[in-house]
Parts: sequence; structure tokens; C-alpha cells
Amino acid sequence: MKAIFNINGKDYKAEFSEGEMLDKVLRKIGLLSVKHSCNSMDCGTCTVLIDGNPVLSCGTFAASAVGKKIETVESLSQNEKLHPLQEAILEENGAQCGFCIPGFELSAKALLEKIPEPTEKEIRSYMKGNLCRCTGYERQHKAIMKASKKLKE
Amino acid sequence: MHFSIKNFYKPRNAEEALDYFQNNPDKSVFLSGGTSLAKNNLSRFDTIIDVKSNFSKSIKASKDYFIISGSTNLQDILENNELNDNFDNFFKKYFGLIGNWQIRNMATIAGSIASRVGWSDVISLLLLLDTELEVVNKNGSEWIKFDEINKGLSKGDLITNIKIHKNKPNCGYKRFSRTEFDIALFNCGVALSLKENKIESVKVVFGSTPITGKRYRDIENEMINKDIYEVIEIIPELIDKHFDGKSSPFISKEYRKELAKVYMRRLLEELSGVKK
Repeated sequence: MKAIFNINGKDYKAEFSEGEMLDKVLRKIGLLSVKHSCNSMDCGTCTVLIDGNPVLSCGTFAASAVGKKIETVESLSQNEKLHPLQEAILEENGAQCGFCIPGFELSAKALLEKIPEPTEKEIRSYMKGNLCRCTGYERQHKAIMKASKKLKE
Repeated sequence: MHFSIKNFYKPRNAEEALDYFQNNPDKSVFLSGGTSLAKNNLSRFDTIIDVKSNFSKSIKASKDYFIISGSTNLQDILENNELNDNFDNFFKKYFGLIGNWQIRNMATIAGSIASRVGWSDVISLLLLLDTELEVVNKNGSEWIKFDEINKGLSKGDLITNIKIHKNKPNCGYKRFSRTEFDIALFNCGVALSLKENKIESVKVVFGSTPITGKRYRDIENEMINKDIYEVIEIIPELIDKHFDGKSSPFISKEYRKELAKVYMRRLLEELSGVKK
């Protein structure tokens, strides 16, 4: 089947099969930040935002996402300027191998839109679907706190 | 990629969904969130009928009950202030234990019920409340008591609404899983009403793959009108006699049985205030 996907504010035409998952289609389009990793909805690296809410694209049928607003991490930086969240992750050394970061940043962005000043407990609760095997999470959580302040300024 | 899928429909309402289903009942499946469907059993089907994308999502309150539309996702239910105010943060506390934020954004309440998987926390939790389901099929629509889902739901039935009566029980819930956001390998809920330490009414719910969450009425019947202290002492005996949990690749039936004893004791102690 063929359809138009609205991704990061732009329309993309794509051809895909009825049973195909969204992560595969996004990668075919060229958005390689969306990782195809555990493929069992466990790790969070395939997280994208659909209508502003984080979902796992490896468990979302591509056909279901047609007509919705999809965001990947490519939407965060504008005019070669990093999003305050990305700046905060760099400053706090919140990324090591970087594999989990696209999914992590999208969940964190959605969290800060929902709760602009989250507590440590809220960060832990909302971010538990994004696994990171490098950082131990502390620096990432600090980065979210810092981004919260940056976005307020 | 699931090559067996040939058709993907996005109906606008239940009537359209049922029409699509009737065209090919043996090979069609309703997709309602799809967190379990997405990865399992798809080879049996060639037609997906997406009853989430275009269906309305709503939580409406009336004087005596709430009506939640079937395609409402678990996160929206967890965050609904009116529901939480009425049920003493039941949804915030216990729906928050289900999966993670992403999963709760994807999973719908109807989909979590219709799949009738043993690890569903939603089924065990709704059994603790006074819940009914509106089921639509080719013969029309009807409301069924939630307690009867194991015999009351048939192939081709579509759950369109969930009614939860406002009488909030004194209840508690515990789950056991490998990791914090993994599926429950065992879950347990108790709703309890006491009068001077005598048990006036009680609901005991266990869920554990491969058995869908259900009330254990034999256990409940043996608890009624008994002193709470006495019941706490005979929990091992009641579980040994009536618990029918099975083994799965992750956990044995013997281990589930021991969990049932420990969790039920803790819940009864917490709910009755016998031990803090």
C-alpha cells in the first residue's frame, strides 16, 4: 500500500506492506535515528512521538500512523542549533554510545511538555521505558532537570 | 514484517468494523492498541481492522458511574483527575504499574481486556471494581458483567464501552514481574469490607499466565463472615485448596502458589490495618 506520512512537519510518500511496522518504514524513508533494536517493545530505542505522545514504533503498525503527526529526533534541532535538551545532555555527559539517545530525547521532550518542572521521581517514572546500558541514567536525569531550567529561561 | 496481512482497514465506527469482520470472520482481527497483537499470532490472520485510530476516546462521568470508551488508552485513564478523585487514586497507583509510558500510550482499555491474556493487569484490576462491558456484535449490543468475561466474550465481539460504578471498594493490588515494566508473571488483588473485624464482603483476584485473571469465589465464600485474624491464619490452607495457577516458561505453578499466599496475606493485613 502507499500513503503519505506527516513526519517532523513534512509529508513523505512511502510504500509499505499492510503488516509492516512503523520503525521499518521510517528507516526506509531515511530517518535512521529510529532504531530497530529489540523488536519486542522492551528497550525504547524506537520511540517516536505520535500526536505528541511517545510510542514504540516497533510495535505500531505503519498503517495506523497514517494521518497522524509523527516526530523523530531529527525535529529537535532547528537551523543547526541544538534543542536545549540536547545541549543539556552534552553538558551533563548524558550520552556515551548514543544508541538510546534518539528515543530518550523524544520521551524527555514529551515529558517536559507535559510536566515542565518534573521531580526526580517523575523523571524516573516517565523515563523507565528508555533503556540505557552506558550511563546508569543519573547523568541523563540530571540533563532533563537542566533542560527544564533552560526551557524556562 | 507480516507478509500474511493483506488488508488493513480503519473503520469510523463499530458498525463499519463489524461489517469488515463479517466479510472474512476466520481471518480478521480487531486491532485495538495492538501491543500484544503486534508481535503475536498474526500469521493466523490476513485482515487487520484498526478500531483505535478513528474511534473516539472519552471518559464520561454520570451520577452513578463512569463510561470509558474502549479505545481510550491506559495513560489517559491513569491521568484522569475525575476518575482518580472518585476512586482514591486507584488508577494513578495501579495503572502506573503497567508497562511504561510508551506502552500505556499504545494500549487501549478494550484491547487489554479483549486479549484476555493471563498477565493482563487491567483485567485483574477491573475485577476489583464494579465493572460492566458494552459488547457489540452482529446480533446487536449488550452489557455484560465484567466477572463474566471468560465466558461472555466470543469471537467477533467488539468491546465499545466500559462502565465502572462509583462505589469504590477498600482494595489493594500487587504484581510480580521480572523487571519493573515487564508483564506480570503473577498478580493479585483483594477488595475487602469489614464490620468489627468480621468480613462482610470480599473479592479475591489472581491473574497468572496462562490463566486469565479471575475471581476466586471458593476462597471468597470461605472468608465471608469470618474474623479477619482467623482468615489471615488460614490463607495457606485456602490457597492450597483452591488456587489453580499453572506453570509457564518463566515461573512454576508452585512458585505462583507461594506468591499467592504471601501477597494475599500482605494485602489483607494492609487493608484491615491488622499490621502496618
